[in-house]
Amino acid sequence: MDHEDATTYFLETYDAYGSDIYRFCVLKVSSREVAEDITQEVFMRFWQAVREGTEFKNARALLYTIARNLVIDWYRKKKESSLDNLQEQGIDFGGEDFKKITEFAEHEEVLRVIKELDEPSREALMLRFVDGLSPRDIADMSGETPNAISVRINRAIKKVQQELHT
Amino acid sequence: MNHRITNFIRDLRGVTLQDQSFSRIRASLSQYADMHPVITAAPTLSPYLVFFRTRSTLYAGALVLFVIVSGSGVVGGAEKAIPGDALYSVKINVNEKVAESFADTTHEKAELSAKLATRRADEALTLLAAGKLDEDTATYLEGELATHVEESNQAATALEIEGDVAGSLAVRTELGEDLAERAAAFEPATPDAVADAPAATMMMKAAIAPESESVPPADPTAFMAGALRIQADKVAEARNHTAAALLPGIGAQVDLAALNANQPAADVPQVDIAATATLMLDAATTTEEVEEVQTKQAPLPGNAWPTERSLWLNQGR
Repeated sequence: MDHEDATTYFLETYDAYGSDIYRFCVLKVSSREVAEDITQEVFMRFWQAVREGTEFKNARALLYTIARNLVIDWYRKKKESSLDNLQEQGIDFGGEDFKKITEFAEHEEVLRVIKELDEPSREALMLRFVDGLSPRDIADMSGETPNAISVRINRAIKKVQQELHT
Repeated sequence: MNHRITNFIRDLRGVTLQDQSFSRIRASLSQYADMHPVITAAPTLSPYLVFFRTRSTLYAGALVLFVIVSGSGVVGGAEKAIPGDALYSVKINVNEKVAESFADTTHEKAELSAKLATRRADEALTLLAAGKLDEDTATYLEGELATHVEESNQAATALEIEGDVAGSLAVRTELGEDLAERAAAFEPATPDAVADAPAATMMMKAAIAPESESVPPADPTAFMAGALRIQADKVAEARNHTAAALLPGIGAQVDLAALNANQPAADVPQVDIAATATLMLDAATTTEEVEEVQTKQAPLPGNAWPTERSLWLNQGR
């Protein structure tokens, strides 16, 4: 791939998945600015992979994997000011969209239930239904088998449904 | 699923980058990409060949290897290996890498890549006949096939730029025919899939691994058949493109001959119009194209004497 083709491919990938990656980040870090920065960093790293001719099967899964790692890094660096701590202190720096969602009374309960799930289940559930990734894509990200992911998602759905009905 | 969850998901999906931020990030990414251009990496060698970093050590190493191995018949035996054979990796990583390093001219490179592409197709056919064509091997062979076709196409385009349009046309014509022939050999094995589906759909259908039991299992044969047809069509398209570019070219060659008409025969550039025209007739796809070639070619016999040529040209004016 020459430079021009690679750039075109790169920007097309951004056009297609930029918003998805931003959403993935903003829901994890609850800050619009941080999410935008991470999104940009994700695509910079993706470009590094493209320009070095790294072979990858699935650009989308790769983007989510990079995003996930960067979010984890961000949390490590900012451990003392994680979302929960800040919210406990009464600070909520979530973006407007995110606020709108959390303010919806209808969503409060769902949010509560989803928060009760363990992190892998919550992540798998979000990736599957909000981001529309297939179990195979999610498995590629976490290095597990698609089957394990499917089972986890099904269990998480059942749990959320049970919780909401009680 | 519970409607509350559904609504929640719907609202979450509504979270997107604002247009302004989206464009800002896009602009800085575009800038970033331009500041860090694509690295044109050297082809990656197998770990076993890492020692042979430079061409001269490769030659020397290849010679040593050849001397050692030819005695035992490994290299010769490897030539006929198919995926799954112990010697297959010798064939891919030694025999073919050595052949590649000896292909010096663009024409040789184009021909070699075409040959390797055809080889991959033949291996798939051999495996099919033996009932050993599985999903993994089909995916591997399809990837290699596509790579070699692409290499051959690129070398052929480079040939055209170097001025050897007829050479490019010859390579493309042969590769296109070879691939089409092999695609045809594959197709009786997959009559249902071939009947109604376009090649790409068929390939996709066969390639997508089953997510549930209701979907039929992946079909490596249909996958290979589709892949071969796609590659054959790709080459044929490139060949027709070359041929189309050549049509006005033959007019220019006649003009060149006219310019040189007054010079001694030995000084006239050897433009083999008859051979070029034959190639073009092979490549022509429409009757208009055929007629165009014929009108340009017909009045001028292959290697007419300069005087006869100028006579003909003068009469024509």
